[in-house]
Amino acid sequence: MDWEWFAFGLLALLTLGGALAVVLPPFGRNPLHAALALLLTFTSLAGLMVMLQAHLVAAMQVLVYAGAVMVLFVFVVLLLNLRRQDLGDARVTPWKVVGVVAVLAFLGKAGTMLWAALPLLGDPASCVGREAEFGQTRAVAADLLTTYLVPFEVTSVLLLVAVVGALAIARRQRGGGAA
Amino acid sequence: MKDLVAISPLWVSALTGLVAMALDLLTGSGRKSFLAWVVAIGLSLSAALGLALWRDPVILSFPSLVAVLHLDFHGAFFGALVALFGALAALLAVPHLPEQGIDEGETDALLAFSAFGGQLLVVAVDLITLFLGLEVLSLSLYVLAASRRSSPFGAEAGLKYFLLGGVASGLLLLAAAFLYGATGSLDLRTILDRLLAGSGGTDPTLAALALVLILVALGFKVAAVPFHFWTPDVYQGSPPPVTGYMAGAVKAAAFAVLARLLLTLWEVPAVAALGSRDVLLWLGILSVVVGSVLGVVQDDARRILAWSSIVHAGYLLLGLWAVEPREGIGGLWTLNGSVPFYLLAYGIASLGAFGALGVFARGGHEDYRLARLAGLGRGHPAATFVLMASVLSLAGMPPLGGFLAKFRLFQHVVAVDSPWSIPAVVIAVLASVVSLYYYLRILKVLYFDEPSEETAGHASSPAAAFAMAATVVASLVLGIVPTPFLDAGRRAAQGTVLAAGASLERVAAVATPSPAPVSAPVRFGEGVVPPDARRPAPPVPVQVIRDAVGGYRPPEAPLDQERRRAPDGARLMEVFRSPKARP
Repeated sequence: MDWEWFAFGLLALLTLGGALAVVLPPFGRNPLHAALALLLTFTSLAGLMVMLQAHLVAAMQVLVYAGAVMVLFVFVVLLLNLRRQDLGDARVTPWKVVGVVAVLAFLGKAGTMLWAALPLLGDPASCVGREAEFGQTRAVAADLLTTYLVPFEVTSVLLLVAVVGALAIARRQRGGGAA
Repeated sequence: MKDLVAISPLWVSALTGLVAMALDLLTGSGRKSFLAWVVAIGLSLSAALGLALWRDPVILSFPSLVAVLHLDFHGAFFGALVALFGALAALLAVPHLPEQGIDEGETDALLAFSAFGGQLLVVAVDLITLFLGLEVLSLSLYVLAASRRSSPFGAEAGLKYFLLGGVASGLLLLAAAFLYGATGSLDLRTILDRLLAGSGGTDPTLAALALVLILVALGFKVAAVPFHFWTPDVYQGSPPPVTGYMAGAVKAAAFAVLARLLLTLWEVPAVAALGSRDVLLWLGILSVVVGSVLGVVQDDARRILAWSSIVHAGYLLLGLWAVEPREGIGGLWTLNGSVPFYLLAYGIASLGAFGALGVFARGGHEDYRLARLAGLGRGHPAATFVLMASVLSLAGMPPLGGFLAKFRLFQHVVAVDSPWSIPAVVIAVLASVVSLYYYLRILKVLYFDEPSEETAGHASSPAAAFAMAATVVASLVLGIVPTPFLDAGRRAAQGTVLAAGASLERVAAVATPSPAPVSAPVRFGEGVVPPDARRPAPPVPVQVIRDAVGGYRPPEAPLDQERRRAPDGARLMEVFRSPKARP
């Protein structure tokens, strides 16, 4: 067995396991534990990015998600100070069962289809776009400012909308009282 | 510079939003209604520019634009729908918002940004740009849905729409990732060409999975059963003009992009074999049946209209199922012309209905339960008339636009060569009879029931009155002189399938005796090829391209097979798009 496969398998397991732990009991029942499980997912994801030669994305993943976003999550969780009884009981509702069955059905179908198609997938080395600089800051920056200039600029509109929207919702109402 | 003019519809609407925000700062409280006019004029200008500039496919020259946008009449038509609905919603919201303590310009600015997102969504051919357009459209709407901050319903609407919309966006991203995994490209034209060529490790299975995810994600946006659970709650909790916009503009943009993505992927036989088109039929029938039956038991006018919007999503899915063969370029399918027209008629009627409904709010307390609406028709004859016209158009009554739209759409469904086409239409017609019950119930309550208590409506405003009058006039015009709009819809539908963009090059290559000059292997991002390389033979191209769209077919070369065989087009398009390809 290749070491690369071993590393991939480990990181993939950690990513998925962390993601499941965020939502499933016992960790999912406690917001802080869920946040820590999410941190595991973020970090393992950064590891996967490194394996894909996407070093810049991996660094961003650690800085932005595992760093800033996670601090924000933990901060909000502590600020809200939810107790267990505030969250209500974990109940199994019919819709949840339907949802789980649907997800499993999709995963099963997708899995079998992909498994059957596995030989069709080409040699990864032949993938288009795997130049020597692939994933490095320089290549990403060049793409951002040439091919993806339009989405890059539209992102600024998206962020503007997000800021305006956040202010619009969070601001105190005029003419009386807090919102 | 020429390109800057060509994309002006996009930046005009984004700029409108910025101007609205700037003007908001400069004006005092209580005098914000002119902002709605600014937004309405800006968005109308953007729509008009789009219709004028994008009549024929625009050939852009700036590489960054070429890489992500495809400007043609499809984008012009659907972009104009989104922008015009945004303009109407801004005007309709004028008398409504101050009562909710929303005396700010952000509603207008967000409507403009949201329209910008929708316009970008329908012209994007790059999956990242497409996703960003959808996010700008949706993010603005999440905020607008939650803009009734004083009401728990408003918070519920915003949160529900946001969370479920986030999941839908995630699924769309996963679909984009699958498509990238299948083909190594994010450009729809390249994706299609690589899938057709079947070269370089492309995988139709991944593309078929992506197709399913796209259907789920956009099925959520258009409120199709079984992705509809948010609809009644969100429609109930949002301010009525915003709801009207949500129903009309989001459906228009989402159906345009859904049609484009699905029909483009279905071009590939291997993908079409894995992900059958009939799934649209079943989703459509489900939406029609569930929406019309559950609408009957509602007692809130907005929830009734929400279920009606689900029914209309079902009709539109059936219309999407009823593709017609595209003239000229062999064996490919395209959207039928009734769907764009239907979206136009539906959006106008739903804006009219929700706008008029907004008039009946009782000072600050929004209550649109039918019991509260009893007898209000006598107090507000004009608004009730608008509501009547819109609701009858939604129900599909002649001589309003909704009738003709429904009629044309059913005609197309009947014409489908499938054992299910007749049963589908029978079910759809029966469902519209059932839904007629709840449409008429609203009118009966308004006109004939005795008023239960003293109720006050909004002070009307010239802006809202103008917008409501415009919806009624538009519904009548669509019903009485529909020809120009039907023709426009047909033209817009012709541009749906993105193969047009890619295969135009291919058509030019095939129609020329020797496509040799361009078939030299060129790797992505390398090679200095003069821009003219994408037009192999100088005398042929433009006219051939026109002819190809309009029905040209070279007699000796069946294009269909030619397309499937020749891998040249993929490389050609890369050269065409590659930023470094210009000297």
